[in-house]
Amino acid sequence: MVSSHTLDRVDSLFWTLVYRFESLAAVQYAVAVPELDTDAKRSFLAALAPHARTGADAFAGTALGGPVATLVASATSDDARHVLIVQGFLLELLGQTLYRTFGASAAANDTTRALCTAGGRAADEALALLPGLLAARIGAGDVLLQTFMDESQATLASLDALGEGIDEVFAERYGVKFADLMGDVAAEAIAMCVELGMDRRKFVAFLTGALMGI
Amino acid sequence: MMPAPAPLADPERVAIEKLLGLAIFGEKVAAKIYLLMAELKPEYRELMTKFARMEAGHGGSFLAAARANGIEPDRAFADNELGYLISQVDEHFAERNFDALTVVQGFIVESLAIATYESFLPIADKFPGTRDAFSAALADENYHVDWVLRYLRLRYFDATDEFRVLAERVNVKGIDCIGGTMMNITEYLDAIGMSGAYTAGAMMDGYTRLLETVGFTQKDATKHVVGMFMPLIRKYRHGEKTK
Repeated sequence: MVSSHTLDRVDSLFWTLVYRFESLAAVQYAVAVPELDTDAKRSFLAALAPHARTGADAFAGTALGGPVATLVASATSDDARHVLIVQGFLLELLGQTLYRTFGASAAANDTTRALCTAGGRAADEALALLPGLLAARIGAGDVLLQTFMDESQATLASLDALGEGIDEVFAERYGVKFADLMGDVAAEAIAMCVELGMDRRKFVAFLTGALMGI
Repeated sequence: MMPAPAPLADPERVAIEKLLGLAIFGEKVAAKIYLLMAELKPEYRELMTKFARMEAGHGGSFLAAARANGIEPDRAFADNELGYLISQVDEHFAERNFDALTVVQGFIVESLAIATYESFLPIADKFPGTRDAFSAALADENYHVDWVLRYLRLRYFDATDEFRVLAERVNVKGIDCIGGTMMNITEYLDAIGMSGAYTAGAMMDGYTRLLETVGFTQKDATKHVVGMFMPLIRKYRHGEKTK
């Protein structure tokens, strides 16, 4: 149960940001990968909704608006392979890292901490289902690696701009930089790629190049 | 008889002059580090001196291959890239810290060398004579790393936390320096037909594996390495100087 502690501007921006991606995930999972449209995800989204702004000006006055729109565009697709790789793999890992990091921060209030716990649990559950889904829908090893590279390039490229916005808005309050968050995301992604039979060196090289923008 | 080198376009010439400059003078720095290590631990003097000779030999064979191709190594570029590394090495030596020098040389410098030499070999025949020089150097660097891993595994057996403290302390500056160089040479690697991204990824992956071998878990090692490279990657992406 999430309490109704009043959120200030910074926390409100965080949950508005999260809501954009979790609501996109909910729509895409329902259409393309129903296995990931879990009770935990639906319950988390319902708890999140009252704390998020949904208007066109939700990010007004911050560096978040443009990058969020670009990232949402890059993540939007009804193709199951794209949804699995971008939403199910990359953005779930990013979400899991955000919930863990922000939830553990001394700056988090009760509402943010409770939402982070619920979000983290839902992300954990989705990520536990992911290896089986990737193997069944796409395959393993080089086939999966090539699909990952094809589907994730645009999203990885747009993460950098989002990072600038995240640092500008949240770094002071939560004491965490996007580079650190991406370090955690990359570590989890690399561990998962090994588990899925992808060539680790090729995966690391792709990830490095994509993040470098080359 | 070696085939005559093909004429180089200007961007390719500039790139290979810088890369060979870095390789040649980097090998000299590696030789210096092993000599300093020889001074600190008499029980390893003979072996460290042998390693130093091998590193100096690489520099010599690279220089000969460069000259055979009409390439003049860019010393100013190399000096600029290596200056920060040398000052770190001097600090560790002043502290009589053999293990810090082992991590700097055996992990950080060797990771850059191995990643770039491995990635260079597929295109080495563009520069006649370089294949043999770089193949031999690569085998030697792996031989050195083999010893470094054995030394560190034994030295920090049952003391992984102590190794972690050392690695984190040394890595903060070391990766900032050598990882920064990796970012700075990316465009030159691309210009001669290598992949800067692949080489950078290979260095990160190679370095991660070294940490794992000494006792970090895979995820922990990856987090550690990626966390240090991410600020450099972001600087590169934004066209900022990495050091």
